[in-house]
Order: sequence, then structure tokens, then C-alpha cells
Amino acid sequence: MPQESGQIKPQKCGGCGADLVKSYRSHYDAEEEETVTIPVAKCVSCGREYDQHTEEYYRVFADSFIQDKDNSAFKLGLKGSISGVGYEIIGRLRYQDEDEYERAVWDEWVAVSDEGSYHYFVEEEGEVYSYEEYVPSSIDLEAGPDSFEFEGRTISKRNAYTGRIVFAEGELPWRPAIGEPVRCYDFKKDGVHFTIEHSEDEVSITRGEKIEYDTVIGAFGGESEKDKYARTMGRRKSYKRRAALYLAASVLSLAAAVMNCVTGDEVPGVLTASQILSSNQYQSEGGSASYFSQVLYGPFRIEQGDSLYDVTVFADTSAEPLRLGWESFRLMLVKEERLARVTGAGSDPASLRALFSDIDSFGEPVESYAVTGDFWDEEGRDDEGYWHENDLSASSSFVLDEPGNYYAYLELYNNQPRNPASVRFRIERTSSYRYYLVLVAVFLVLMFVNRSKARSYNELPFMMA
Amino acid sequence: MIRSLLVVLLLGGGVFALSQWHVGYPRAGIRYITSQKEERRSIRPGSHYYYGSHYGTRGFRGGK
Repeated sequence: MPQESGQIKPQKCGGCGADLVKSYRSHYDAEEEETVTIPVAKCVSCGREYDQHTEEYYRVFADSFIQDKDNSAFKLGLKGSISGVGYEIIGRLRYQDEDEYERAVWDEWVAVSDEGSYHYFVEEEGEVYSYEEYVPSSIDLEAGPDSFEFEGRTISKRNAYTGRIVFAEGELPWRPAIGEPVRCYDFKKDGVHFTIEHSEDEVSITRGEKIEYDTVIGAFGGESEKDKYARTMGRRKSYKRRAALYLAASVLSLAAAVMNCVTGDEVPGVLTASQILSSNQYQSEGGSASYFSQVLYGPFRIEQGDSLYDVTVFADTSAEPLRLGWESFRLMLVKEERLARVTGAGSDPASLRALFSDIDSFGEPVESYAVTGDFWDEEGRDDEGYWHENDLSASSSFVLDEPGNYYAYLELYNNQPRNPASVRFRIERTSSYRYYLVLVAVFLVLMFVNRSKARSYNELPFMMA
Repeated sequence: MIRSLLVVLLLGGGVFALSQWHVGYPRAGIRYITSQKEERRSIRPGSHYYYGSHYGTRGFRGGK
């Protein structure tokens, strides 16, 4: 005879017999290291509280565990066959994990097979397991304080958990009570899932395996469910393919970025010829003193026009260390013919020094490009102790319009006299990689979005992992 | 799937074009000279900016 335990009568306090109501309690949780608020059943008269380790709690809160009870692939009375064996669903038990404050339920659908034996379909978090009763050759649940013996193997009890019945319906092999505790041991042996359910009155042992929803819906689902399942799986497959495409595109973009980043042709001979125009000239401006140096490198040939170049200027510490000081630089790229136009015949160091000292006063720039930067080396102490940091290089990317012969004019400002040749530079023809890095991020986002949809898309009313 | 393929091709093609045409990078040469010339026209001769500031970005650490 079908029975349903969803209809809950007012529950009474075991102490005074007054009504129990839903309430909350706050306490400090040592594990969480914070104050937590948990639901409890509370007596309206004596104030006695019943937490999730009591049957009263489940009787009061039963309705909060069964709101979605109809969202399942199974239903009472359904008939179907799996692997040639016919089943009829005759009952269902819903359990809540006692250790969880939040909803953590699973359903145990009881079926009777053609052969007349009980069979159990366990539905939990979008997965279905098919279990049948099993009689082990040997079992000793009290073999040890933290373990038990099962067919010659020692199984740990550490992963055991307690389920509390929160709902029952249909014709069940026994009469369950709401809140009734069942100690469960799940384990795998020789690739087979086993479950031992140990309640006050009996021990039930079942063995089984995971079955796909494809099988479940094929056996028990109607035409509508089968259509929705086919559409759901089709869309999931499509999202999976898209995610794979975006992942591949992301990998290719990353490869392009890395390739463009590591490959470059250094412009040869930029440091081969040099003239020191001035060295460590003392200057004082606005109360701050500095030492000024000028070096002219080149000419050297830059072969490719309309190309991306990267210039890196660095303090060569092997030539002279930069210790607790600073150095500012300006590097100018000057085309040979433009320099010749402004110097005329006077290209001796004195003329060049005079020219470059006033290079900013020309109405039309002589240089084709300029880059500035600073090197510094500092140390100090703060609340974390001693620190020492420095920044001894700077780089800039630019697109050079025309090939040709160029000079590089380098001017240096220091807080202490330094060898002008201790600052060096290199120019490399390179390729852009910044946009490929953006593309990698965009494709990864698209990949994650599609992967998430591939897992969550569902037209059916129940969860499918 | 075709739409995703189009998205990949369009984005990939767009990025390839941006990279090939060096979009977003400073230009050296004629365009630098032209822009600097325009800038210098708007600066009063004799001012500090007219002679340029040679001290870079002043991006020193200055303690933690």
C-alpha cells in the first residue's frame, strides 16, 4: 500500500510536549574559525533546541529537503528494462547528509525486478548508480575502532557518513521514520561500488555501478524526456566542440605571441663606432647637481623600413656598477643625411657637441626618434627589514619609416661621475605580440564560457552531470 | 560551430592585421619629425620645455 511521509504533523518537544518551530542558533565554530548560524528546531515553551543530529530536527525541517522531489528521472510506478532485466519503481527514500547544514540530499529509488528481487537506483548530484543486494562471503563491522573487515579486506571507517531519512514514498521493504539515522560506508572493491547501510535494526549491503542517464531515460523515460535528453546532449556536444575550437585558437595565439616575442634580428654594428663628445661635465640647475655626458654612436645601417624595432638601453654593470645612485638617459636616432645637413662640413667633436647641446632648439627635429628613461639603484629599511632594488634597463618599441644609415646620440645625466661607455643599447627588428596576448585571453574566456555551458546546459527538469 | 569558426577567423585575422600594420606603436622617421615639429611650434622659445627635459620619467622607487 503506498505511503507518503511528506505530510508533516506539528512536532512536539520531547521534554515538555509543546510545539517545535524552526529557529536559528549562532555559535563559534572552531573549525571554521568564525561565528556560524545554523538552523535548529526549538521548543516554543521550554526553549530546548534540536540540531541536525536529532530526529526532531528532520521532522520540523523535512519540507525544506523535499521541494524539488519531483525533479527526477524516476517516478513511482515507472516500468522499464535495463540489460534485458525488467524493473518497476515501487518506492523512494530521500536522505540528507547529517554533517551538512545546507541541503545535501540523495534519492534511493526502490525497484523490484522481473526476478522478484529488490533493486536500488541511487540518484545524487546528477549521477545515477544501480545497486543490487549482495551477501558477502565475510564481514565484521566491529573488526577495529576505525575499520571493518569485508571479504578479507580492511576498509576504513573514516569516510563513513550518516544519512537521515527526510522523505519516503511508495511501498518499501520496511517502514522508515523521518529523521531515522543510517550510517553509510561507500567503498570500491575490485572496481565495483559497495554500500553498507547500517541502521539501528539492520545492515543492508548492496553492490553496483554507475549508469548513464542515456540508459535510465532509455528504460524509464517517455518520448518527451527522450527528445529533451537528445537535444540536451546534442547542445552539450556542440558547446564542447566550440570550447575545443577556442582552446586550439588560444594555443595557436599563444604560440604566435611567443614566436613573435622571442624572434628578432639585431641590427649589427650599432656600438662599433663611437665618439665621446663630452664626459661628466658638472652641471647645476635649480639647486640640483648632475654630471652630463654625450656619446655619438654610428653610423650603422638599418636595412628594413616600415618595420617594428625594439631598442633596449641598459646600464652595463660589468663596465661599471651602478650602486646607490641614478642615471637618466636620452637616446636619439639620427639619420646620417639629416645630421650632415645641419652640421655641413663641421663634423668635428666640438661642432657635434655644440649641435647636440642645442638639439632641442631646432624648429624641425634633427632626430628621427627619441627615447628617455632612468636607471636607479636604491636600498633602505622598512617594516619588513632591509631592501635593495634597482632598475637598470629600459626599452621602447617603434616603427621606423625608412631604412638607411643612422647615428645614435646618447646623453646621460648622473648624480655621480660615471663612465659614459657603461650605458649600452641594442636595436632589434622584432614583431608585435601584444595583440596576440589579448587574443589568448579572449579565446580562453570563450573557451571557459562554452565549457561551462557544455556541463550545465539541460532541458530536463532534473540535474545531469 | 560555424559561427564560432567565424569568430576565431575574424578575431585572428583582425589581430594579424593589427600586428602587421603595427597599429598602436609610436612611429619613428617622417611621422615623428612632423609631429614634433607641430609640437615645437606651440612651445614658446626659451621655456624649459623648449629645451626639453632630460631627466626621463623620474620613475625612481622612493622606498616601499
